[in-house]
Amino acid sequence: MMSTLRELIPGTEHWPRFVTNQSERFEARVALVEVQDSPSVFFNGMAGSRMPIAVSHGEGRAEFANDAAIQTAVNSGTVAVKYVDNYGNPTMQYPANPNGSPEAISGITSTDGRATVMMPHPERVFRAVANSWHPDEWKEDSPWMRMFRNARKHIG
Amino acid sequence: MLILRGAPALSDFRVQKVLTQCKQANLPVTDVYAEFMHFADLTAELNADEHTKLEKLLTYGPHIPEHEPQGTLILVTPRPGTISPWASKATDIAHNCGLTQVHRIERGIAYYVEGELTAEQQQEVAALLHDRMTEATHAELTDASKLFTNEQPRPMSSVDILGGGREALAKANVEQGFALADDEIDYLVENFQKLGRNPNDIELFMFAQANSEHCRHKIFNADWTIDGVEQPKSLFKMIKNTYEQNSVNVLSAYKDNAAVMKGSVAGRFFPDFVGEYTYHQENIEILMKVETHNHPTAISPFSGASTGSGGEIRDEGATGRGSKPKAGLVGFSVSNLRIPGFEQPWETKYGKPGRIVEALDIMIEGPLGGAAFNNEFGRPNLLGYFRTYEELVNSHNGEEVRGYHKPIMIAGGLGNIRTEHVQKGEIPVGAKLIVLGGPAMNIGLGGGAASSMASGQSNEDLDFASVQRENPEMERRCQEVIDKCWQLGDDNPIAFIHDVGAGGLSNAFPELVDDGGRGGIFELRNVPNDEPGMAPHEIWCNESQERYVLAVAEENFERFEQICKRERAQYAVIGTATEERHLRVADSHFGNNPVDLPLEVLLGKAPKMHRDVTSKQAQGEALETAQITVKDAVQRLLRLPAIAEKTFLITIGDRSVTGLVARDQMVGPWQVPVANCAVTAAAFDTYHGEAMSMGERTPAALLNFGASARLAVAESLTNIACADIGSLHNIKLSANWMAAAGHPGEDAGLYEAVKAVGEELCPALGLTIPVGKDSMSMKTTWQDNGEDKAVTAPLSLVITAFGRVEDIRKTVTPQLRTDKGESTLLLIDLGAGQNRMGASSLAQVYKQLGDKTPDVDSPELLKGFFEAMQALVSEEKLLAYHDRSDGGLFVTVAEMAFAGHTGVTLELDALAGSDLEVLFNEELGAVIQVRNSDLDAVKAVLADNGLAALSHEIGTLNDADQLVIKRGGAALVDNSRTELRLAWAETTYQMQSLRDNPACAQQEHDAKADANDPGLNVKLSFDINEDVAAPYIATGAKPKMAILREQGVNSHVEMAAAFNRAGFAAIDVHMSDILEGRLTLEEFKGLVACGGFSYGDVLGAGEGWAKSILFNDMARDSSKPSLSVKIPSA
Repeated sequence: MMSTLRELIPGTEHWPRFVTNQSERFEARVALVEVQDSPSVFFNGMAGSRMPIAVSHGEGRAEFANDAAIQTAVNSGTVAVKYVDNYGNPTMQYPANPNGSPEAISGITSTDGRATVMMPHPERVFRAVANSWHPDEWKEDSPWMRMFRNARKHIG
Repeated sequence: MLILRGAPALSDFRVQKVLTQCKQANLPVTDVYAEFMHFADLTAELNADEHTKLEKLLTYGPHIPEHEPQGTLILVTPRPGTISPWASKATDIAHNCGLTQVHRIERGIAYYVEGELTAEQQQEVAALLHDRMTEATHAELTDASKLFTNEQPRPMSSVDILGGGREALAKANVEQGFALADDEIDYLVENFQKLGRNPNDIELFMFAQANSEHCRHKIFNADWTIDGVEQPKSLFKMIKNTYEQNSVNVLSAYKDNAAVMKGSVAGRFFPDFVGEYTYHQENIEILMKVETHNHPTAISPFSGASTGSGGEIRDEGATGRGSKPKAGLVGFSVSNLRIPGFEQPWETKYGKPGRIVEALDIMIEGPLGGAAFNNEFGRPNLLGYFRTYEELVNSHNGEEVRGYHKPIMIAGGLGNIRTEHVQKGEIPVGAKLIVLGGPAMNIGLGGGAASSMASGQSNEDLDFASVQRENPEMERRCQEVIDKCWQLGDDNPIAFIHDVGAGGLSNAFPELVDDGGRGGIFELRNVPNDEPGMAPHEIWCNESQERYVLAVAEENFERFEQICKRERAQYAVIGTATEERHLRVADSHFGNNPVDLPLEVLLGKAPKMHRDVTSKQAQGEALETAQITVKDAVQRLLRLPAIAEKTFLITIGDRSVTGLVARDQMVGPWQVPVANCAVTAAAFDTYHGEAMSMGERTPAALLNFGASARLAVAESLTNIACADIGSLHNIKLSANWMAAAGHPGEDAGLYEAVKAVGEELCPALGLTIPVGKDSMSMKTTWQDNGEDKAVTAPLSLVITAFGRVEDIRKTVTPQLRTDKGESTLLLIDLGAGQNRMGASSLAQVYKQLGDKTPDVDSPELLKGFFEAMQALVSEEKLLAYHDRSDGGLFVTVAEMAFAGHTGVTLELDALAGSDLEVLFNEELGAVIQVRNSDLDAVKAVLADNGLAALSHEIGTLNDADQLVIKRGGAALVDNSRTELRLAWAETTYQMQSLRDNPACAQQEHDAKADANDPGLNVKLSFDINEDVAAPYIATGAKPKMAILREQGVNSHVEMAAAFNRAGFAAIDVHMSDILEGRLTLEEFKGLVACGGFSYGDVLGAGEGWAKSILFNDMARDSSKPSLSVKIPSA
């Protein structure tokens, strides 16, 4: 939704639109994602982390105007989250990449990092128990709580 | 009418699918191109700016290369005379963008078909391209103007019984399809003669609906004589016996839209009256409901299944004085799939009538409909079952075809309700009687009566008229209204609420006022109506979905109205509650009173029925096994849909929305769909919660009615036993009965089955059945070249168990654990070595039935099993648990191995019986994995519960990734796990290829072949237990975060909970608050736009919402100052 609001949000000119999944089907999956090094305030200190997350959408494929626009986005360093396979590699394989987004992009931030858009749902798995699968050692909070706490920390 | 060309509508593989369909139908189509076409009906001209704005609004969706259309145009639009849900939402967006001259926008698809086609062939192509239930085709774009013609209201008619007597009514009954029974005709003639006037068609329609089998459950309330012996109780009374014997923890039974049981105390999380989300510590009671929607699903699978889910969700929102649906289930029984190119050896073709949809198409379209409704409403779908059956067998009535030509589509779920809202309130005289939700449309007329006939029996047009159409986003809005009402606690303005289901308003309003001890005066023309041409009976009796009726006292009306306006939920005051128990419906357009009746006349026809029936005994024939090898049986069983992987039914449904899901179908790091039951958290601040599971073993009813019913109950228990529930008193059951009433032997069989469960098994176990439903016309009849044909469903009892969970973290799954040291697999065989093979999956895949079925021989033993498992779950002694069911021990262990990505070696010498019996018998029981260090303790618990002699150590894991099963030194099975897993996956792969993008289906199937796949895993670059917000929370400052939502958004509560936990004040902000100037975003430190289906995603996911901000000055200005923006999916 916010990707259509690019003209209102500074530093988001390179954001894609999100359109019908390649499968042309609603995809409710647990996806594995890896947090990228980006200016996003939400992912501060999380780069390199690999975690499962809830995916639940029919229209989540990032669509850029053309290949050059994909490169611009990648080069801008604002790709915040990528779909990875179980070996940890960014992937275009379905269903590890559930929607066919190019460059395995599942989230992207603004150049100043204050606005972030992502397709998976961290808010649905902020508790460990709400994850379809999680390591036994997780206690009450899942690692996704870090995103929300980063926001709190950012505001000060 | 303005015509605006849209984007191409079909991707390459969709074009290929259309071409394949045409080829299969021998239609010489060489190419197809399609694009969306928009039609705008304007009240005034648009200026250039506005025109551009509208064009931008209608530019959405992915880029597909456009080309100049060639060939013959076939324009598919919504059926003229109706307003599609797409249109109402797109029009709303246009209005919220300031385009108030747009009266309505409709959308069609313009297909351009190439090839030399005769006029007749063009018709056939048109038939392939559209759904005749809801759409129409046209040859010219300008024909779409028919969508906007307004018809004049049609008048009512009456039946001249004063002049023509009984004969006049009997004749009208056939001609107009009232579906009145003979005794009802007598009753009506007598009563209207007393009233001294002729009945109006609207009154007759209303009477037929309100008194249909569907609404009155005549068979369940009937008196019975079986084999000449009068029976002491009705079926319903035997069900109620379970409550009379044991009502512990039941808060509401039999009288409301859903039953309620005792839940947990925890913090319900919702906004207080200034809009800040907070926790409210209180009782969170559990409500439960399971419905069937078999007839509509047989006629129009997508809409039938989606409105089935929609109706049951409304029941769960309209319990007590307002409640909240939480987690859903969907199940299907159909005849054999016969997937083209993947036909199975047991799938003989027995034929079907024209208008009944093929099993394959039901399973392609139906599940999508059920999932779509749940997804868009925002309810996770966590449970289900799928069974196929269609076979010529020697059952109770001798040799005949038994199967599910009339399918079962079951939908249900659990929800939560406040204790003080469990009982409905008083309806004060003068209370406003309100309809909340969508407009009336001329669809679903006579559904209650039509569904009460055997399929094939009623007139084809009536079947079509009875199908409904879904608009889940509307229901979401209504639920937001209900939520806001119950959240007011004692100030809840809702005194009384019902959902509008079968019979439409004509059933819902009389039921509402009757239950409240009142009468009512109504104005027909106040009913929001999208089809002005409808006659009075069509306005009053249609089954347009997404509607509720409510009673709100006059003094509370203003508050109610404010809530509706904020949520943009449509509502209208239709009537007023009266002291006098009389029903009057006035029609201001025609200046008359089409309904003017004492309630007594409408509802006073005692639906007493007497059924005098004969019982029949099935003989059966012993299973002939000489030609069956284990190797072949394994391959067949893994492809039987009841056993095969069901991913194609699961990943289409949201299983994470609410943030409260603790156990969905997908299990473990490899996400294999084998969970025994579904589990949810009661709230975000607790480990208490709810569980639900299903049990059905319907083929067994072909040999033994009672056993089949007992097995259904028992299987629901062996499924839910892996959750931490404690006592059986924390479990309540829904019983859904499906039978072909009138078919020789089936009525007596139904009586036997209800008695087995209601009078015997449930009381013995201390279980209550507080809710359920019946569907008594499970037979399809038709003529084939003059020959009478029929397919009759087995008597089908589907049990759903609902339980309160003490600790949701303790739920055990079938995933075998390879990371917990040395372990042992134990089989607990409640069949005690009897190995009864009748009606087993093995019998089915070899086209046999067998003779003796498994059964619950001892309720005590079953109870001991449940209590033993509960002790082991509570003490965390189980590494894995899976019940034994379809396909027997072999399938149980194979699924556990798939989920655990491990090899298993079983040594089955200690089990008596033939190899086939030992591997494939479906006696009740379970396999558990325990640590070797816990083995003695576990055995002690089993022995304490009388299970020592029934428990067998059967094997352990191996490192070879092979499934090896040995008896007497020989390997009966020795296959790689991956090979078996791929065989198990073939059905889902085939279905997915047919339904979705085949390239994706192939990739998913190929990925399962990777034996080394490490599965989901975690690598963190930070300390999960560090709270980086703690120092800021410690300051006491709570920055405000706007939790922004638009109509149709469904992920806002969990979003608020996450920000609340991080130390924010999470504030509920609806777009209407901003557009109407109630607040601006300046006061917030950040905003988050939440996911869901804003405006039903009609103009692209979230795009309509976004454009309503871009194109609306107030919203645009307001949204500038936000400091930090975080946006998840739409």
